[in-house]
Amino acid sequence: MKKLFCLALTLLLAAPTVSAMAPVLKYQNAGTLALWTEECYYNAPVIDDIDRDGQKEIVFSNYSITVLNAHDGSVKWKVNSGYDRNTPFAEFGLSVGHTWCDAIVTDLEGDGQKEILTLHGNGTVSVLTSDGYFKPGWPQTPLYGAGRSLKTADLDRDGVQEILVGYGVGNCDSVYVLNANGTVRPGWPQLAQAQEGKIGFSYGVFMNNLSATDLDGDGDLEVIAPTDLSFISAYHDDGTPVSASSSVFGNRYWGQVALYEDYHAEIRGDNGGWGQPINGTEKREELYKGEFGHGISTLSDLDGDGVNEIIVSTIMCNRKYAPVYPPSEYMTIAVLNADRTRFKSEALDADWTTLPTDLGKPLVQNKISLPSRVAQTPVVSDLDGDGKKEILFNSYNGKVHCFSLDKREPYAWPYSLTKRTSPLFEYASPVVCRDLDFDGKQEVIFASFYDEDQTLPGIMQGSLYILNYEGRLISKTPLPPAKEAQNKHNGVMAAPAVEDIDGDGRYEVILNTQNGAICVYDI
Amino acid sequence: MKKALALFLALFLCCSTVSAQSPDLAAAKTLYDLGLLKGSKDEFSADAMELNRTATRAELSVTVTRMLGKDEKARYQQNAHPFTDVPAWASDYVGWLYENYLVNGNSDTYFGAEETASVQQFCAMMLRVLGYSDADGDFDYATAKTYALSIGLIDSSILEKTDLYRSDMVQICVNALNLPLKNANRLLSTKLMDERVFSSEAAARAGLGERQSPLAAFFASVDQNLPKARVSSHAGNRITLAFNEDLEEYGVRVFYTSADSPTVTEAPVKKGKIHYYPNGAAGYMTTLTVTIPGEDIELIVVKTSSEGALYNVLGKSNIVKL
Repeated sequence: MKKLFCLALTLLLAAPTVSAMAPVLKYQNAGTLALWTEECYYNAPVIDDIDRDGQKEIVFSNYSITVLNAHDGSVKWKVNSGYDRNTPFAEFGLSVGHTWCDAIVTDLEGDGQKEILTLHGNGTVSVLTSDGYFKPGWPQTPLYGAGRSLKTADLDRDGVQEILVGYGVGNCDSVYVLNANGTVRPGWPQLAQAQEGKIGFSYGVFMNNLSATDLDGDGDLEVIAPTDLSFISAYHDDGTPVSASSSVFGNRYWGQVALYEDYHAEIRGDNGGWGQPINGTEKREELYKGEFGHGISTLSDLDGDGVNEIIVSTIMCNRKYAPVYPPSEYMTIAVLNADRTRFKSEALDADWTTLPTDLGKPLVQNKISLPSRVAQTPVVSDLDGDGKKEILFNSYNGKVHCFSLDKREPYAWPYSLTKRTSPLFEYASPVVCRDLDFDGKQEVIFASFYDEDQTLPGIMQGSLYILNYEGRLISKTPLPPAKEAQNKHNGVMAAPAVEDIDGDGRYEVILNTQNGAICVYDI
Repeated sequence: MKKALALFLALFLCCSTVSAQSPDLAAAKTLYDLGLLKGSKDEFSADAMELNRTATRAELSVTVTRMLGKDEKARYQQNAHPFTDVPAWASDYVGWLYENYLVNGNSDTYFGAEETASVQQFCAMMLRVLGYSDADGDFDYATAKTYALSIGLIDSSILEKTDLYRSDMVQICVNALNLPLKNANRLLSTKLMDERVFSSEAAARAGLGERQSPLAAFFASVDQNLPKARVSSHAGNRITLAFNEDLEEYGVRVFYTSADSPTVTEAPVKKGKIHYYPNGAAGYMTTLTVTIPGEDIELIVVKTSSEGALYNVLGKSNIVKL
């Protein structure tokens, strides 16, 4: 009994309380180069013991792929993107481009060895061994185009994972599936040009949009591909299209159902989902359509029936401005069933046949980028421990939204990073939910960045935020400035990693910063 | 017996009081029942609603926040504002509106909370509640009242008024609930129901936003230009429809809802006898048969551009109820 009491006391003392949850900088600028700093976009750091020596490493990929010793940030090895350790690292001139999406550390072939997968700006996919050498068959460049989405999944359940790759291109063959040996899987890429319109519509994949889950209950996984414009395609592992619910959508495939704000318009699917020509008399129901070039899909079994729902972010656009976007109207999320219908559960008091609407226009109607550089990533977590999940996402309106399944934003949500009195527009990275103080409720951790077109005297660096489950601020910690003085901005556009990297029983927050590489905070 | 008579009399008086209440008081009761108006006392009464006096800018702020469905949100978020004259009971509401760029003060630090609100101010605010934007050029602040009149938000009796009376405020709010959002078919009350500001039952009790049948909503944007359909026979699951004029047979489909299938579903169609006119390629029919299981069936005949999976809806019939 005495022992038990002592253990409880130790845990209680070890766990940080909310009031003590102020991050302390552990180290910064880890993995930067001697002469310049590689910019980071949306690629989150990965924490793993890749060489199984009992110590964790930080893996991250910008213009180079770097492995750090997590406890102190020292460089273990570094290679230029598209190369391995057989080629000496070069600070200049040796790279196949930047990295847009997260690196993946996984045991690809189920052989007990971890591999590091990365996707780069010229379209090259690298698969490195844990000590930095190419696996046989790699690297591969199935398409010379901007690599934007990288996922792995064992589509055919043979124990070996396939590699899903999405490209930000201006045509329909934007989604590839590669085998673990580097060959392109038969039936891919999709959409094949000849199939466009016949089985769906597809264009570029501009964020880490792809995911895979079992849609038809046969045990194999299907690829879900939200792509530019209004369609979400779904494919079997051989590239054939997945049918949408026949009772709701007739004989259409997933890729033939355009997402409208109004579900009736979506089901009706006038003009193949593209809508009737605009004549100026249309109502909003016919005009507001989702845009999925930056539509990131997340999977979660919301109702606990063993089948994943698909949560996908979208930018609602007004068709009257098409084909020239922006402006756009608001960012939101859709929750879909495996048969492409919208999610509804009476038991959960959840009705997602209508979407959360009018959540706020972008702070800037960016002429180049619809999402104003925000990677609008849905994250699912039971924040308050009531057994029901919440859905969070960061938005181009300068807020982090959180929806209960009843489609309300509970408590004090949304959280606004950009207040009316703020001198600059500030945006959130994707969020991570962790119970930092072990009280059964999740904290929400994210970092921020500023609009790069805005300038003020002085340094503009984002902050590391920790919110409680109610959406109230626990701490806001300014990030270190950029490593190089000429870079006025530093912030974080990628999701943080929140792990215990040094085995002290407390979490650290690991950030891949825009202009200062890896920075780590103790919580 | 005396007791029963007294009870009956009390009930009668109570009912007759409600039924005899003024339209303004009825509007206030509607808003009160929906949680959009609180009044100065714990229970609903004419005294508590204070309809005969003017509204202040602070009261206007509270009402507008509630009409946006943000009452609870405002109280949770407790947004700061720079104004020094806002009473504590209105501060969260003014803060929420300020943070969301929906109000400004009369100066940087003076809101004018106790000043009488104007009809023009309230019209502009309620137009914004309905999705109209003066910033985007939907209306001018200077002509907000006439724009409000043009969409049915106010009637002409309010147009000439300057000060906002609470009686006018509640009427405008109820009008707004029954109006569609900017350039949409969806009513403000439907949006607030969807956002769980009040329940559909409460809305029904208040006589708001009568539920449109799923079929009507589904094909709301399609012009009705097909011949009128009626049931000529109904045996088991087989329903034969007859039309009052020839219907071109190509692309004809039937959609339905039923007690078993509340979502709009396409029914298999067996076309009736098709006839052709001399020198005409198109075939026509005056009947068709569909197979639809279940009870409480509503159906509609639509003409589409194709017999394949992808099509446009070109026209619709009346909705037929069985």
